[in-house]
Amino acid sequence: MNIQPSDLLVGLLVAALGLTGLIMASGAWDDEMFVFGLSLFVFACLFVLGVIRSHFDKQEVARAVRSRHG
Amino acid sequence: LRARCEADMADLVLAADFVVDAPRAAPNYNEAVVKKFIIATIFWAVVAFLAGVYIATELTWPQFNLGLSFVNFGRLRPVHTSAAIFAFGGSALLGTSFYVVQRTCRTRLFGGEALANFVFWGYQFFIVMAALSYVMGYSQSQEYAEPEWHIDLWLTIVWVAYAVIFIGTLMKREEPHIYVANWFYLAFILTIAVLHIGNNLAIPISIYSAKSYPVAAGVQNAMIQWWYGHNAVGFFLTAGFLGMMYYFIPKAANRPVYSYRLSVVHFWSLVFMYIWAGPHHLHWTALPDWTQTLGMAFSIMLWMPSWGGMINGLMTLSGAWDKLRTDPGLRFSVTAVGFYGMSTFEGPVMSIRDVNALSHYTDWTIGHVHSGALGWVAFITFGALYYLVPVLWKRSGLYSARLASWHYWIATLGIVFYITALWVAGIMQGLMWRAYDQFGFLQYSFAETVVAVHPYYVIRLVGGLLFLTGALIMVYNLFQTVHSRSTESRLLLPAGVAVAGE
Repeated sequence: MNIQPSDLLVGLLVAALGLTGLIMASGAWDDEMFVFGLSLFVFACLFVLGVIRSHFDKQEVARAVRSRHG
Repeated sequence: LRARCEADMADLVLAADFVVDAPRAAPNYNEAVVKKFIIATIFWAVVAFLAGVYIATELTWPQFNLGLSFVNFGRLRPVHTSAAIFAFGGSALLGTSFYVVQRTCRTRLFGGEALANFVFWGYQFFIVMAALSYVMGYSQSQEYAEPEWHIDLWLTIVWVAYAVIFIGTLMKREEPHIYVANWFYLAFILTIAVLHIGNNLAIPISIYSAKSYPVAAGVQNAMIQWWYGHNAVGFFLTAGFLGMMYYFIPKAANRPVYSYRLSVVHFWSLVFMYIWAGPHHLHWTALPDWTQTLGMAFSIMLWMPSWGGMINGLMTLSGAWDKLRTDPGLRFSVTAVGFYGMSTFEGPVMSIRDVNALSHYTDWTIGHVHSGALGWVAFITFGALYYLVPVLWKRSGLYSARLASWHYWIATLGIVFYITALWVAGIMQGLMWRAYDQFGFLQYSFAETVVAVHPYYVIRLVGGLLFLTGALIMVYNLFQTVHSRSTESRLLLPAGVAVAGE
């Protein structure tokens, strides 16, 4: 898969933070914590998707370069 | 004389080594994250100035509060200050520090692409969440530290990631020397981390609630708050932007730093003295007298390093003053250094206890803050933006030097309107508040002082509008710089040719 370890680590950390956000929103006592928790979850989902997309984009470029050079 | 000449030559050679490009192949720098921060800086500049103009309107004509809780002055004021300091200033600092550390260390950012992107998006998330919490009415009521505990924790995570990238890049540098701009950026990163954690120590009532109680109470809380507050000025709004000054002025002027030795003295004296100056915000309060005097004494001593740095910045232009006529970006940077000198003169004056008795709680303080925020912070950032945008987007130059020049004059006029109006308003307020009649009663009611300053609030509003107009001109100019065909790079190279330099 050739995944960058630092990218994997950051992706996992953000995913864990996103889950924490979801937990905070689920039991929120006030509007602020509800909004913050849900926003954190959405942020984490989008960020991790971005990391995954960037990984596959790089692989595609590497494949294209390899095929061009035979 | 000979020793002096040799010392100066050594300064020149040393500085030239690190600022002027050497003809070596450039590493694969991470410019994507720098570009994102530059775009964010421009966006937040407009937001911050717009919010400032709106709350200035509310102060002038209270009907603009509209009777709505989420747009009243009390909630929008921290939106304005956070947008100006953390969103606009912070994005500029993070972006330029990533640019400068890569260039001066000749290496790509440490930690990979995802970590850099996390710092960018995580920081933007912090800003949006903080602003949202203010308008919803959540605040821990500490100036410049309004966000509640959960947002503070989020910023801590992002800041640690930022520190890891910056320090990691310094550690894997390809240059033997750490250029002085990086020292200033490093002081900014480390001290802000300590201040942020120290001032926000609080116990939440539950992980499901935004409410928390600070660990310290009473005068201790006030002391810690202003230790934080003044060093936010010292290390966020001064040290970080001095890092910007020490890189972008020599680059734009194509001259080495006037005295590299002075820049090192500037650094150590500034970081040593600033950290003690906070108590001057609490003159004539329950804080012990000796603490107030300590804060005052260190504030006055700060004149020396501040002016040493100002002289160093200005003298870097030696032999290149003519560039001020042709390079409006450099004109912004140099004027910023002038405002830095002016506000670091005014600050120590206001920290003297007897002067403070007049100035404290008046609009003089607001005028002082804005001479620093608009004249120093915003202008040094505008100078860096006008330098960086053509470089990062590989354009031949700015779309219009004339528009940049218009921006310069309109913004300068705006600052002059702003600060002079608030000097007069502030001193008048202070004098009216302390005036007694022949029977020993206060001569003026508070409402009378409000009526008296009204015309100056209108002038301040005009000043803010001018500053915002200038920023909008800059946005158009920079947008066109990136997109216009007239600024396309004329340097055509066949594919595969190595490009020397940065």
